[in-house]
Amino acid sequence: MTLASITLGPLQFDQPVWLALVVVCGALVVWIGRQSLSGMGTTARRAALGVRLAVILLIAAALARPSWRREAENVNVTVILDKSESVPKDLQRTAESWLREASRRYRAGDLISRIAVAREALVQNLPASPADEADTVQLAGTDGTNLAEAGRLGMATKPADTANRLLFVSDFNETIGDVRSFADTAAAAGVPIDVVILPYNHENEVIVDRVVVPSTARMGQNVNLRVLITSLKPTTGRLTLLINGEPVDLDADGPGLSRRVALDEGLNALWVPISLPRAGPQTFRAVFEPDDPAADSIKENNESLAVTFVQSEGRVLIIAPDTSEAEPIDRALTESRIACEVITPAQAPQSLIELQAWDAVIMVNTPSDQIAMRLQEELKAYVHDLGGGLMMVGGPDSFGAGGWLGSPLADALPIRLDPPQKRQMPRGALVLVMHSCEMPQGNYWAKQTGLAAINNLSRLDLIGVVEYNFSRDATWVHPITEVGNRTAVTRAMNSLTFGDAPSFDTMLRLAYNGLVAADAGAKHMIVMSDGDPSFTDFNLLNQCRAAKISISTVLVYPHERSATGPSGQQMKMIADRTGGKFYPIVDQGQFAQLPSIFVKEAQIVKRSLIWEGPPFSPTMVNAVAEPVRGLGGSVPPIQGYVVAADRDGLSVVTLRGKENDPILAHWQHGLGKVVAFTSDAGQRWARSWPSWGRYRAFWDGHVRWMMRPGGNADMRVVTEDLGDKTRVVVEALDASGERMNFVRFFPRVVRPDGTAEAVEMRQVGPGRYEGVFDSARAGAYVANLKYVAPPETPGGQPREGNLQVAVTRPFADEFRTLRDNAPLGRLIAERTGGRVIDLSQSPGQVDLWLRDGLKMPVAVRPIWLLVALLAVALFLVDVAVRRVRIDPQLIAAAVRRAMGRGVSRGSEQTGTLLEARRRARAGMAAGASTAEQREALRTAARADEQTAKAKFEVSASELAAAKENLALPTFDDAPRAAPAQRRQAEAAADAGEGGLARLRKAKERAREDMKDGDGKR
Amino acid sequence: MARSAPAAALCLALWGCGGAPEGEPIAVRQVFGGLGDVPGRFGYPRALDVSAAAAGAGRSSGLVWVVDKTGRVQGLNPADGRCEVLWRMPEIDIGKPVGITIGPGPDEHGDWCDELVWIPDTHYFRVMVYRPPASDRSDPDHAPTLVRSFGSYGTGPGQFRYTTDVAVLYAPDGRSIERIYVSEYGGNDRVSVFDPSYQFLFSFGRFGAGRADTPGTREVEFDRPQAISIENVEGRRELVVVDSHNHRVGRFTLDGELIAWYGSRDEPGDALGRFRYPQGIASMGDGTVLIAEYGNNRVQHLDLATGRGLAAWGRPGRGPGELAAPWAVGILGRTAYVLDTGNSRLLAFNAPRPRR
Repeated sequence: MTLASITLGPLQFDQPVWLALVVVCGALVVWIGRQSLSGMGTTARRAALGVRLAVILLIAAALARPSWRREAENVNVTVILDKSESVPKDLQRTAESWLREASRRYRAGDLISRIAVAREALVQNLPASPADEADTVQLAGTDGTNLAEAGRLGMATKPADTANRLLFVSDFNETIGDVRSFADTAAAAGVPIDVVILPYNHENEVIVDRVVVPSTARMGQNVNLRVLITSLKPTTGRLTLLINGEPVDLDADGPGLSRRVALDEGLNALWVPISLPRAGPQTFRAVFEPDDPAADSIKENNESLAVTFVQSEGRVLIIAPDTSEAEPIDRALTESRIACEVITPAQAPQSLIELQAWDAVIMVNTPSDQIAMRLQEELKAYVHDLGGGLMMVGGPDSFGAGGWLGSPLADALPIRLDPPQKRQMPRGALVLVMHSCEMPQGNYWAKQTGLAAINNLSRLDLIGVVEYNFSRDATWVHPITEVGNRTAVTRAMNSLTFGDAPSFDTMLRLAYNGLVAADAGAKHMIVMSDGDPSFTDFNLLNQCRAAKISISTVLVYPHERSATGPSGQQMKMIADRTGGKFYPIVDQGQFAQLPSIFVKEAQIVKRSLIWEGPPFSPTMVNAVAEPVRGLGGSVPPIQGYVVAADRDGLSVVTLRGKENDPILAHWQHGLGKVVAFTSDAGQRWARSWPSWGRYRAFWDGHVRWMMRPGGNADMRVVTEDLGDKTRVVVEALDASGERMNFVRFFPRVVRPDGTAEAVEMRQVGPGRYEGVFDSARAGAYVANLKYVAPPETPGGQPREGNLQVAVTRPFADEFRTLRDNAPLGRLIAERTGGRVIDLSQSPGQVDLWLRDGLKMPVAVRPIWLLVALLAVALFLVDVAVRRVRIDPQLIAAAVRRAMGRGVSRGSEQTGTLLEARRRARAGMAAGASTAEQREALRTAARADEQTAKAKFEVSASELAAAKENLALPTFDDAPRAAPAQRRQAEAAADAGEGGLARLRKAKERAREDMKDGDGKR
Repeated sequence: MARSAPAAALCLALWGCGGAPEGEPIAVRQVFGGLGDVPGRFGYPRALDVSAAAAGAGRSSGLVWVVDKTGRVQGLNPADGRCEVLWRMPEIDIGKPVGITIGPGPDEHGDWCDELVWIPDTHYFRVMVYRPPASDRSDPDHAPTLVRSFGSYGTGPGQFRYTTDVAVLYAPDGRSIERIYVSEYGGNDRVSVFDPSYQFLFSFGRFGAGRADTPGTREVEFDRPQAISIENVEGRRELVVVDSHNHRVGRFTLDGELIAWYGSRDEPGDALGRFRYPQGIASMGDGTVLIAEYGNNRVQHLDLATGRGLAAWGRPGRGPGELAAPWAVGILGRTAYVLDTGNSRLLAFNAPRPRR
């Protein structure tokens, strides 16, 4: 049974129905009290009744779930400031200074919190006094506006003990999220949203809306490219077109490459005929530059992108630092009519779209430090997400010996690059000496580079990390131990404190001592520092040389910004004298090289992964596997390979070497296929292979197995722009034009930053499939749709293929806005009961902390326990009132006594007793209300007195005899030896003096008390 | 007392075994700063000096001056740590100053003023001399006046590599400058001496581990002389050099001749009278100094006449009264300030009582 809670002043009762007990029980108590309390005096009876009623009231109150309410008085304003690119910069500054002024008008206790918003929202400061200075924050992406997220962040960080207002300062051109639905949330929570609309209107603007090209074309085809440009006013300018970053000559007659164009007001379509000589995806970029810069307000929207896939036969890209090493493979593939191109790592494709032009990539004896980290990531996505083929061919700079351990591609390979655990191999020991680097994000880079080196070591290698710590000087963050599963050393790297070491001496000495004691073949030290610490322990360098410990030094961002300054000279000297290398990184542009330097350096301890010896023929262990079918079950001898380990049955190993090491293996990785061959292409370790009769079959079999399957002309893919998202629609038709149903798609979309996302494709109609992916960021999105269709005839082969489509978003929607979106601002203010504040209003007149319409929050604290305890305490009082007589005069006397007034202690006690007795008698007389009662009492008292006399009264002679018999000494007795004195004492006793007299008096008092007692009864 | 005796014996035993005696935390009176880039907070502050009340600059109380790794120079009110003066060094891209010295001197017009700020602009190979702004910090014109800047990159006379500190020698009446000393490091570790018109006079010292010094001459080696100071020792004015990476403190005549070294490169330590990376010095005015030790995370009270360590305060840590790599120390009135660099804060504590 519940009722709505009721509030009485600061008290709130959640189950007020229990309060009815007060009436019911109160009446009962009064009724019972009339009977049971009739023996008490009027005042006492009233007091007793009052106390009992109070007990009942408290018990009922405790049952009614009482709480104590405290209402807040302060207001917090959460200011959400739009920092996106759509708001002109000077307008942002005006708004900020307006806000600073306006936020001076607060009342004591008011709070302000600030959130900066663009693509993402960041808390600038949590609720704090407006008098405090605000922190500045840097937003990562300003090419978007997500007001709803900022609002949600504001709601999440608002304090609970104040009333709250939100203040949006924005142009309300949101590109992500839906601030309207957020406004409903805020309205439901009772938080009004005030808005300050930042007003602007671009009157001169040119936007390159779109570049329109067919999504697929055939090699050599001529296509008409269309550039759509919107201009608010007639203007002139130049149009430039780039294909894959290279400009196209649009001005055949003139000296320049760009074409002069005159734009009319509104939408302009410009046609450019283009021939497509190359296969693969082609990226077109159209850029418009107005002649008059004033004719255009936003520069970012002056270019647009489009991608066309140009189809060809299968093509293979071969990457080799020494192209002559790849020559036998190139020859074998060309003989097999597979088009291939051999390039060096420096010429490698720079983007995933360029990689898409190839159906497989072969890397021949390529060390990982020559392939940029980004390209490694993209190669992984190319295989896993876009279904491309990859083959890694060995050599002394490949696999584990080439620094691929721990690289992004290591996971894609069908072998593990760590040596097998059971193998006994010489191992290397590496110590990283890490010093604070005074560069932007220095500590981040230092950790990244350290981890890159560590990931590159095999599990059996030894690793140690030394740094300077303010409380311990040079110290082992990670003592030299086996790399193992890298957990411990990775944790150690993440716990580096990057102390500012004053000197290299102690750190290098510590590292040296550790390395000398380490049980390892190659021993190496990498020192990373800004070169600031001093170095004087030159003897250490000689000791390192003697112990064959090399030291490589990485000078990072030295103060003198030069490799030849004092810091550089010192670090170079350390490297030179110990046989290490010196790497100067003097400007920010070189930071990205750091991980590859460390990876390369880690190789110094990694040479042990190569097996070289007398020629032997590897054993073919899986001759029926598809790529090696037709090789005749055996291969020519080899003289070396890079040691690696099995994937424990997850991949198919077809050739094995010494101690069962895998030499040739393949597997499917995501959508793509990968082959690893740990011996080389025929220059060094497999010299007899190029002349082997089945050499061509070997390469042909592997490359054809791993190449991406070709596209299907019967599938049509289109994309639709849904704002921040893109819909992919596939119309699937078979060779006879019939719609294909139940096709399974494995679509992956690679985003502009190289990361991939799976997309769900659902059949929505006969032969029609749809999927949606997020495409909010500017750049190109490549979707690869591998598919498996049911066989054409029952029992036949399933039909497989690949579809590709690209979507481009040349610039963020942020740059499409030409004026503020004031109606949206007004709408959310209206929905939440907020205000629309005009920026032209004087900030001094605006009260950001306006109380009107705000519901102040109430803090409610349950107090039932307290009330219940009070009831218990009062219940004791209730008992006491009925059982114990409280005498105000007596209390007053006690108080007087406590105050130390009047008589001495002894006489005071006596006096109090006498007084008490007198009052008791008077009270007894008063208590006996009628004359009959009083008479009856007196009679009873007399009767008792007679009885007491009979019991206690003795004659003086009887007493003396008794005393004689017992020979009890009295206090004033003299010793027994003096009979004369004793007689004298007896005489005194007879005369009524001494002990006997006192005894008699005591007896009388006892009688009096008994009378009192009767009176009370 | 009886109970503390075994504890003391245990301490002595540990000491004897070579265990590092952990110092007591400093009895801190006030803590200023904290990590941040707003006024009154610091990011890895490395230099400190104090200035007494400057009537000419319109200030009734002294200031505690701090330079941090954001390149900001801040003058803090010693009562509440509020930032009263603030400016940023003009160039900070390749490095920030590691020293600051405050004292009277001639301004840009040659007029004597109460308060000049000498800043060794370490990574720009020069010394900047500023007259601090007299205005309130909220004033938009709040900016210092550059009185002059001297020095250029090099190892020749009057050139610098990385300047660390400035010491100014005043005439006995305190109304004129006799000499200006500038210390530097970076392979060119030495002290250069200039006349009042900033003309180079001479320099002494070279880079080294300090094992070939000749007392009574200028043949000395330094490894990062991080702080220098003019001190009155036994009635005579001397230059005291804190030779940080050689773990020692040296006394020199005003002409750069070596009098004595306390501590040594080969015996860094945390016993009293020994040092580990001493970085900062503050004058007590009674022939004793306070030394901030980066490596020992403490402040040591040193008697310059005897080299005896009188007391030490602080221990490594991030808690109350603990220090993380302190760089500098200063004394204003009866209060000592230590720059707790690694914790980006400033600790104020009662300075020891000066000797009579």
